[in-house]
Amino acid sequence: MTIWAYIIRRLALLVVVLLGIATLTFVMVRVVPSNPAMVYVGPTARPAQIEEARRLLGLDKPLYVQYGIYMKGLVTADWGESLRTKRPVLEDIMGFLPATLELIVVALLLASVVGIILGVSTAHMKGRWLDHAMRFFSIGGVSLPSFWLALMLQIVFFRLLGLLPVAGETDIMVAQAHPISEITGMSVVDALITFNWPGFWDALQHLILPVLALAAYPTGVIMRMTRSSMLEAMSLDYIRMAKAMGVPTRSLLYKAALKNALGPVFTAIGLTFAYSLTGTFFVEVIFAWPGLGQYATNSILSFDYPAIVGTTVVVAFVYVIVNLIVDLAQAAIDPRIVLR
Amino acid sequence: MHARKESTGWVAALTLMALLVALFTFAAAGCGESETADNTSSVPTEVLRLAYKQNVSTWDPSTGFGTEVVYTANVYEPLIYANPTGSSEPFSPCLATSWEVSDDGLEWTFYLRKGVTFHDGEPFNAEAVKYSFERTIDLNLGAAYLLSPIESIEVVDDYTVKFVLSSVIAFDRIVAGDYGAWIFSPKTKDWDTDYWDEGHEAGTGPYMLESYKPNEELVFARFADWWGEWDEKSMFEKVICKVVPEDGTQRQMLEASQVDFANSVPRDQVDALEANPDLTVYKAPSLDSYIMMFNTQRPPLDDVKVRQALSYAVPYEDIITVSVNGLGSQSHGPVPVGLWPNEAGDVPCYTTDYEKAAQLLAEAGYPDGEGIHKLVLTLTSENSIEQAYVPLIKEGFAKVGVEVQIKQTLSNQQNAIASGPKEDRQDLATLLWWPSMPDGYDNLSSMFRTEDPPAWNMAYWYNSEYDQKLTEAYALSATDPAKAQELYSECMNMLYEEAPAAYLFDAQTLVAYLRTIQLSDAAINFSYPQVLFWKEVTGK
Repeated sequence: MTIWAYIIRRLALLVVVLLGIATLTFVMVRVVPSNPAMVYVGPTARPAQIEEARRLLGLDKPLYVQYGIYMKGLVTADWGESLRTKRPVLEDIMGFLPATLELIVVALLLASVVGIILGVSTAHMKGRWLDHAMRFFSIGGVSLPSFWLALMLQIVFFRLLGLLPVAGETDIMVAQAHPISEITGMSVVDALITFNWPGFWDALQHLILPVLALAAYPTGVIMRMTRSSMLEAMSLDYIRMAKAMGVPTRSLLYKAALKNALGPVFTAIGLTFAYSLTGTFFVEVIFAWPGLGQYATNSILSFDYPAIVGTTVVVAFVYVIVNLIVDLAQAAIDPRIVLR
Repeated sequence: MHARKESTGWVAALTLMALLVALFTFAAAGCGESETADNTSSVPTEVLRLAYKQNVSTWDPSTGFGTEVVYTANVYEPLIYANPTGSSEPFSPCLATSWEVSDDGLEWTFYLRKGVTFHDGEPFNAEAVKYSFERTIDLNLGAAYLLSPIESIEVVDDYTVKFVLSSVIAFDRIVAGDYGAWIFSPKTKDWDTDYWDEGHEAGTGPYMLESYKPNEELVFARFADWWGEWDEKSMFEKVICKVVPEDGTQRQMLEASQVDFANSVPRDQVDALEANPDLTVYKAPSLDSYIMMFNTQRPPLDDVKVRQALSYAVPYEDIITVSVNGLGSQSHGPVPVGLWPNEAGDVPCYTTDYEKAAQLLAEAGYPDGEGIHKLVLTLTSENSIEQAYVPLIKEGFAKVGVEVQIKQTLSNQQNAIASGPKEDRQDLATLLWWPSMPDGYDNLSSMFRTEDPPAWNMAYWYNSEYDQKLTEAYALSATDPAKAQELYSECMNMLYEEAPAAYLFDAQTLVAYLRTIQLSDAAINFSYPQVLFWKEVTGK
């Protein structure tokens, strides 16, 4: 089977998965007792206006008809209108997704680089103090709740040291003086490609704390995963052979052993990417980050079902796509893996 | 060999650490620099920076019925404004300079201000007023129910408009409201929902919406043709609102002078905020009141003695201390103290008295709570204040032998259960109420009038005498306030005696701002909860 056939088959499965996810979420949010029309009208809505909204939103139709309408809309890129923001859900999500992706991509790049380097080092120095110290950090990173870490980072770097901004994507005054034009929706990238240096600098500073809060968990996971699979790889015959032949340690570790150990690490990165997509919920709220996490939190708290289903579908989509990319990458670096 | 191996690992780890530290200090140092530079030279004093908790649910002034009023109240204007309690006059003119009501209370004539223009350049006139109200009535969403007594709107001349009502009501309080009462340009006729909600407005207010990023930032600029007086020296040319949902983050931003004003700072940190010499902390009365409804149609709560007993078993003081850090006071009935018709706050209230509660329960035939099933309590669980006090109610009731099961529900779920099949309904429901207009009639009518199907009367307490008195009082409130007050007091006393609900507390709002700005007395008007009128804010 060629790689293209494989990709096409996986994408076809993706459609099935997404339709399933959408159905499941739709049913779950609609069978629990709730009153979507009331959300639409406002918190102290009156019966006559709720009735009007029910009619307007088509909620007076039987649930299976509503489901049919929703699913038809889903495939034709009409994801309904948010009950809370009154804007098209897809438009809302596309507006908020870039800011979240910016956070996650930077956090995972950081986590991967730091995690892999520290994982290799600790595997190399197994049982020594660096190993013990890093175990402490990785367990901490994995087990500390991200919202706690976020608050601690704010207290230390903003309140005590006064080094970094506390929240938001940009500073009010800097953004006024040097407005960042919206191209990709990721402020750091937009500022960079428009050569808006003050804006870039400001956006970068705002990015640091949320990225650190978000990177803690993946760093811990990637470090531990790298360490254990490095230990496994280093006990293999070819490494011992290379060692005996006097191959320099650095090449031994990073060229020979790491290549062999990266497979499981890639899987871990893929999984933590998807995890981070939902992990940003807390981090975004605390840092007032205008991303999908904050949007999803608000939607759930107001039972805004079109937004909830829409967000779930997008998260599932990203999850499946990232897994596909990880599988392809694994096949690319490890010829023993055959895609089937 | 061994030594060499080790050093390689060291080098890798140390290089990385050094790199991270360097990156950090680099970025951080840069930050410090740019901030000092900003603070000293480039911060223009004409920008007012605000941290707001609220999002916009719609920009359409006809259907808006949510928290966006904190923004729209600065963009739109009503015909008249309601004054805070204690003012010599109940209303002040705005887009109408004077108004009168016919003897039968059915015809209201408003004389409009001349020389007013909308943000889109259209002139403000009687046609615009007629258009605004008629559009809101036609769309029949949001607060349109307030306008249902309007039978017709007549344009008498360019600057005179007459409302003919089908029943006598306190119409002045409705046109002074912040829901359903804004006047907007007739040019918006062709705008659809999507266009509005991209962030467009067409008001007459002192500020215009300049840019809108949902959940993130709203920028407003001074409307140069505003009819009111503008003091160039001290009023702000531009207002930038950052949406900051976390109270703790708002405090941090304020203390770092990143914003001038924060509209939702943590209530439990009020002491620390007050101790900060750079800040002014303002505890404002609000129209928010917390209440717990008893299901009066199901035993044992159908017995008035049990309801009175449980009203005595509520730890009111503890609730206020724990949930809002003392920033509130026990309610005297369902209308917040200070709001018409409870301005004096002389309606009696139950105090915490477990002995009396036990005694009443015994009298009702439930000694030590024996024979009472576990009462199901629903709450608005997205409200952290309710989350904080509900366990105290459970504890208080337990002291007299009544068990409570807390059921977490979001607001709209709570309402769905309350209006669902009778057997599935709750026994107790706690909620936050605020009136949709500056009139306590809203509280008295929405929560305790007979209704079918049930909507907000979650006590299912139906009393025709009460209904009749309430209707009569409302009709008289514009023409004979003294008589109306008398009838209203009778209604409120009835709610005390019959205890269809426990009236928990009236909450205060807590805002804080830098000493570099000043708020006039009119900046925060409790008839418009949560709203800060930016035109009343000045810089030094």
